Amino acid sequence: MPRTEEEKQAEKERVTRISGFRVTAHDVLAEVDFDGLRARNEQWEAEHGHMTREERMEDELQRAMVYVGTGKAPAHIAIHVHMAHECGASKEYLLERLKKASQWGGAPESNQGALEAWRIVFRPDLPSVSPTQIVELTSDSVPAS
Amino acid sequence: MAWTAEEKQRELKRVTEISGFAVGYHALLAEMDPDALKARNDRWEADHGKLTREERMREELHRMMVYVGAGKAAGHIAIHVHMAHECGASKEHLYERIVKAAQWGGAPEAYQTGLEAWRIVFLPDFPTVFRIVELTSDSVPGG
Repeated sequence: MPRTEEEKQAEKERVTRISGFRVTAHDVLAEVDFDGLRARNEQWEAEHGHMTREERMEDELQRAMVYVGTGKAPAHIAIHVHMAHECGASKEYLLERLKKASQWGGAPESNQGALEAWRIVFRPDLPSVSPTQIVELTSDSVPAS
Repeated sequence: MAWTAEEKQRELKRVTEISGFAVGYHALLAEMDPDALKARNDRWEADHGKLTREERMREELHRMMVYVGAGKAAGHIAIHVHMAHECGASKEHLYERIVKAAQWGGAPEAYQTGLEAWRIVFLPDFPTVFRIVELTSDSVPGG
């Protein structure tokens, strides 16, 4: 059944209201698969609606850690870093856990991904580190012979 | 420095004493590179020695979840399932978190591997999940 612009907008706003974030994938879903987005929101509410702040913090932290360990995109990790922080995890604790997850997971470039996710939330003033940004290339350390 | 067989054995025992588990890899390391095993044990003690039971439970739970999501081996996951349980996590909670980690991580067969790790710890008499129980042709469409 075709959806009105108002209905699409309301469902997108529901994503942010119940989750604490929204990404472009949700907006695209509202356009191409409205029922899929609504099902996502209903599932999210059923799973997260009754959580305490502490339970939600742990859920978001664990999700961020699994995402780091499996090499997901920094912005995808960052939305869960944001929510873990909103629910009480300190930025220092989050950095320590993300670094651990990177070490345990071992996905390619996960260390840079973890750092980038943390930077997006807590130091957006610093330049991006992902994908790998070259700051300098030198020949100083080439052995003489 | 050359290690005696006794010293190697002592370092290997130290793995279990401070970690709550030892695997074949540690035994091999004791034989081929005991200095590396000693460094592992020193680092483990520095990282884990001062953790409370609750902190250790979380540490083991987090590690287990990342391993499940990343598709590590079942035996590798199981040692951390064991320690999270020893530190107070219920088997039901651990199963529920394994399911989540498998879903979030998306490694091939992550759920079955996580389930196998759980089985190793809590249902060791039950056969491995990595086996075919039956193959039939009953459900092949007729025409």
